[in-house]
Amino acid sequence: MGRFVAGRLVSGAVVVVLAVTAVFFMVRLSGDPVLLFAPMDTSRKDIDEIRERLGFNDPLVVQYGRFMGDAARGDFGNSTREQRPAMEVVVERLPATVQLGVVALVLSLAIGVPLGVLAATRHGSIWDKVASLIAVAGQAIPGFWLGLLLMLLFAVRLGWLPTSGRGGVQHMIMPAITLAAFSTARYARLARSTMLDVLNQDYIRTAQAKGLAGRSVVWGHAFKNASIPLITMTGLEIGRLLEGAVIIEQVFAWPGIGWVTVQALLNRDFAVVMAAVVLFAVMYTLANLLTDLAYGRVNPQVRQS
Amino acid sequence: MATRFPELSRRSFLKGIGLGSAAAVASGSRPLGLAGIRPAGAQEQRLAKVAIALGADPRTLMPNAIVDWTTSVPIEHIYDPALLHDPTEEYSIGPWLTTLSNVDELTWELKLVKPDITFHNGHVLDASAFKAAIDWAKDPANESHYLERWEVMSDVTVVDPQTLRITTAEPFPIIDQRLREVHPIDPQYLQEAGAQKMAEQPIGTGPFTFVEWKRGERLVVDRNPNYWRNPVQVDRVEFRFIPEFSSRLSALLAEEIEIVKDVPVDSIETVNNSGVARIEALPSSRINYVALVNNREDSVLNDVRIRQAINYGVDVKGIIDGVFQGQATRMAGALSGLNPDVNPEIKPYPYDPEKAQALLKEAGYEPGELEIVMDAPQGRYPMDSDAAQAIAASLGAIGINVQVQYNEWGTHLDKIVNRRTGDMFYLGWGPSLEAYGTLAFLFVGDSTYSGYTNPDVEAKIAEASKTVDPEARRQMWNEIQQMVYNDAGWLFLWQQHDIYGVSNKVEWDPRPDEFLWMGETGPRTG
Repeated sequence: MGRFVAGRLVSGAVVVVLAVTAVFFMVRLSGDPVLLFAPMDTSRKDIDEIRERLGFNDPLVVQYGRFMGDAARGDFGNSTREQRPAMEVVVERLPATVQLGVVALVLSLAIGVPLGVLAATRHGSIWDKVASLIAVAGQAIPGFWLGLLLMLLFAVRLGWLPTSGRGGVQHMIMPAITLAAFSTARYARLARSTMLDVLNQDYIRTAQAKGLAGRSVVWGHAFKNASIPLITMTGLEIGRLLEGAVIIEQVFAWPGIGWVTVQALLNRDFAVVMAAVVLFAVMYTLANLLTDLAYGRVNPQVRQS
Repeated sequence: MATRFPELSRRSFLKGIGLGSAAAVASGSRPLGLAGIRPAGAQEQRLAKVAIALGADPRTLMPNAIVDWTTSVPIEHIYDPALLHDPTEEYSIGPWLTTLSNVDELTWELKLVKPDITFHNGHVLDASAFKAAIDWAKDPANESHYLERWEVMSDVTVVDPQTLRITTAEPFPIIDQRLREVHPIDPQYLQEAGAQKMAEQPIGTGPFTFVEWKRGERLVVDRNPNYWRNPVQVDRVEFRFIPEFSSRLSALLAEEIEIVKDVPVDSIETVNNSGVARIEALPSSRINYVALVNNREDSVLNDVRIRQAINYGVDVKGIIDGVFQGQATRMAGALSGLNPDVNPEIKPYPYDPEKAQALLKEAGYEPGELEIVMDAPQGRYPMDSDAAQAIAASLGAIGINVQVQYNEWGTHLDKIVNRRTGDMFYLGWGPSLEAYGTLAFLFVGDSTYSGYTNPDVEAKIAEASKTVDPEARRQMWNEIQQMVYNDAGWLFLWQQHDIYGVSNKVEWDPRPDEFLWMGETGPRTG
């Protein structure tokens, strides 16, 4: 197990380095950051001086080497917009993103999985059709649009919830539902299809023939085997939730990493973008590692191999 | 006061630089209040809270550091400026904490309007606070945006606690434009706490005292009960940071916030019909134009006849009426109609498609032969992408095929500065309430933002910038505007309108200089 974890950590580190490298070159090819944080009436001479001082005149490879060297020491540079350490700008937003992501993940699991199981066990019934409709709608409706609709209904029209911002539980409801909508639909669809497969297996028929209670057959026998792909998907969903948070945090002014990353990209605040990418990549890699570990626990064959 | 301008009386000189009322204010003979604000001494009514939605956090709370509207709005609630645009004097620059006067053509003096103004920590404001602010910004180590702007102040000396003397290396008659930006800081606090602490726990002389800043969420300031100018009628101002406009509008309609800027024209009716908020709109001093690039060898627009044809061939008024639903104001030349230095003789190019086609023919182009790429930003200026499309359609009607290339804002700027745009590009400029801030920045040197270079114009600007006599200087600005107009330097478009959504509970009038300030705001009655 120790070697397995160590191996995954090493490959995870490689993924982080590759992601950081790709983003480093992409953002730098997007244009000159100095034009965005200096006022428009700054002279050409001053713009050149700022560029020189910040090292943007050096060849890209030199900039990359310098960045990687500093990053290895934990120094991601200063935010050009806020003039303070970039990692500090990003890390202070981490709790908000984790909070939103965890609530959305729990919501999507708590709603999506039972919905899919219900659809599979009531195959062809009205429950199946309702579950399919919810699954299709959840995947088809853009999160951005859904968020604004919820805001108009529950905040502006009904006045039940605050439109945006972070505070109590009320502030969490709309962003979490919006972020969870897509994942809920995916869980429901996957749970339905895998449960349908499993429910048609011989051992399930045997269990039913032996007179086991329906609930025991579904949750004790069928779901245990059907859950393996769901665990695999959870690793991917964590990444997707991080990606979704980028948009949802903008809509609901949720002060997380997604919002700060979008702002940094628009302002070409390279240091903050890179710090955010590192954090995203590390979180994604760790989530996948945890998924693999959970997968092995559920399926002994995987652990043995 | 000594003066070396025998041909000018002090009164006419000050009037010329927009400070004619300085002495009157210092003596207390003129009320200091902004337009539309209840006079001091009226029955005091207060608002418990006003929330203002901003698209992002301020970049810092250290004054005199960053040129950025989102940063300035909270800072201006905590710190007072030395001078400010005066709505009672057509927004020329007038007194605030100080008055400005000249000693000679190189020497200026700021004098405090009151001797007993204090910072929020109780320290008394004196001339050293202004010197500390200027010195801090001019220190290259602090990387202030004002370093370059204030370089002109070659020497800054405290004459006495009430007086600061500023010397410039060469005549700089528009020094008031620079001193308007100065926000005095407590030198003792700066020395003891340092700039970083000052940026986190700001202490100014303004109408509100700092309470807290939760990055990404809100910044809170509370009423300063001892404000030196007037009783403040708002107990708390909260700046909420909401990046998405639709969400800001929803927050206004849900009565969570009281003021939001830049309401799109298609949401005006929604706000006005909401019953909880209203639209307050006014022409801004920000201008929009289409640069007709004449300073690149390969540009087809090096031919003045084509530039003129474009000006005759675009139905600017039709676009204002249609795309903007009237929420833009036509400008005739390179300055907005609000600019006190605008040349009133210049009238907009009339919409005359026949004349435009004749000019094109004269330049050697039959209808459909001329193809131009126009770069435009998306979402930077009101209705910019729709307006660019409408301009292209107008030009298509006279036989110029315009292909609009939409850019993300950073890319747009990058293309302009590095001269990689098409022969036309859409841009805005401002706010600017004097000629220098527009003409001397856009039409000299590289001229990348204007796309227009004319050595005669450039020479005239250099001359006007150093001319102390206000009448002579005004004449020169007029000539420059006429030259740019005759040469069809741009496709002259419009002044933007600032469109604010304002809660019906709040009495607040917008200003063309975008000064969004709750220092004299109160509850709305009636």
